[in-house]
Amino acid sequence: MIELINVKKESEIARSLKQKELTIFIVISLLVFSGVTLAIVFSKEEYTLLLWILIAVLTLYIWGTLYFFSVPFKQACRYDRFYQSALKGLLSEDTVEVRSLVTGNISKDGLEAKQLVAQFKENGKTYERDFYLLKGQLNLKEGTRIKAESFSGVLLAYEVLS
Amino acid sequence: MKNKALFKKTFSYDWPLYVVLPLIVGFSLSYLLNVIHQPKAYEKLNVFVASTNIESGAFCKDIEEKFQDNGLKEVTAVQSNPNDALFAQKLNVVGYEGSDLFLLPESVLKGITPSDIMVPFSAELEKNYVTEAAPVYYVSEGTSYGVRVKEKAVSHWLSSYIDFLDEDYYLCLNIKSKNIASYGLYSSEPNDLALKAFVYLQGGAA
Repeated sequence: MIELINVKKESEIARSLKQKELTIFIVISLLVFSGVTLAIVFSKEEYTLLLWILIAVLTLYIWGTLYFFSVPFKQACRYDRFYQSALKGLLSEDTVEVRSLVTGNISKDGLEAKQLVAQFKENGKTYERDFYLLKGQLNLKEGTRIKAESFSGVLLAYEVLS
Repeated sequence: MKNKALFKKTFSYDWPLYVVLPLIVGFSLSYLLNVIHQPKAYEKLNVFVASTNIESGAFCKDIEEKFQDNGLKEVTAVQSNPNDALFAQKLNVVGYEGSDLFLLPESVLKGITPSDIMVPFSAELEKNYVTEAAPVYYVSEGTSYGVRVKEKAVSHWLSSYIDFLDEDYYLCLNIKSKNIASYGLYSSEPNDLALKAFVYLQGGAA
């Protein structure tokens, strides 16, 4: 079996990345709020300039927060959730025949992935089956039969059969 | 690159938040700073004037400039015409509850009970804060509650700001004021801006 993703290791990395990002955010938030609070408490009567500075700082903070929670932290949470589920969930094993690897990235449950199009036969009929690659490279030619181990359609490991 | 694409996608949904939240924070900050820097009770004065008209802006500015160095930050004036139907109500609500000084004609003083709201003049107060050599007081039940600042048919320096009724006018102090040192209900030493203004409005040097 060729392992594409070591779920246990990746789940630890994803969890620690999520924790690290959250810690950085909390530290920055504490600094910003402490600074703003001190600036307000010790503000002088002529506070117009201070007000504009505080508005600018808090606007940047709000934009940063919105960006943080909608892009990097959201991604980290998605990876963490996926790997945690993969750790506990049932993995499926299928024998399939590779048809093509779609170039370019697509989104699989919000995660960036590559698509591997495969097919399998059952009761004399051919069915298409898509797999997604979160990590690793595949150099499989069309028609290669593989035994694929996946979770929720994401290819975790494979073994070339012919 | 992938973050940029994801950001573009989320921004297309979240852009109202990027606009509205900074506006809310801006208004909240402005309100907060405004509240924090509101003049304290001992930094502002309110004068209740019973007259037909007042040049409020100039009148307040005059007093404000005079006592700026004493920590006075805000002066407001409430004017009401004694001939108006709502005068008594305005005096009761706005004047009694929020004014430090009253500038009232004799007819108004006769219609109220000064002991309820005005500072009775003690010998000490008269000695220290009444500037006239021969002052005329408004006396009720043997106690003085106001000092005459304008005589009927005689012009006064305040006439440039206030359209007085053709009556004697008396200057009185609100007993609830927090700017009259220890003369009022609240011992507010050393806050005596109302007393300083009291002297100034009589026409003497504060």
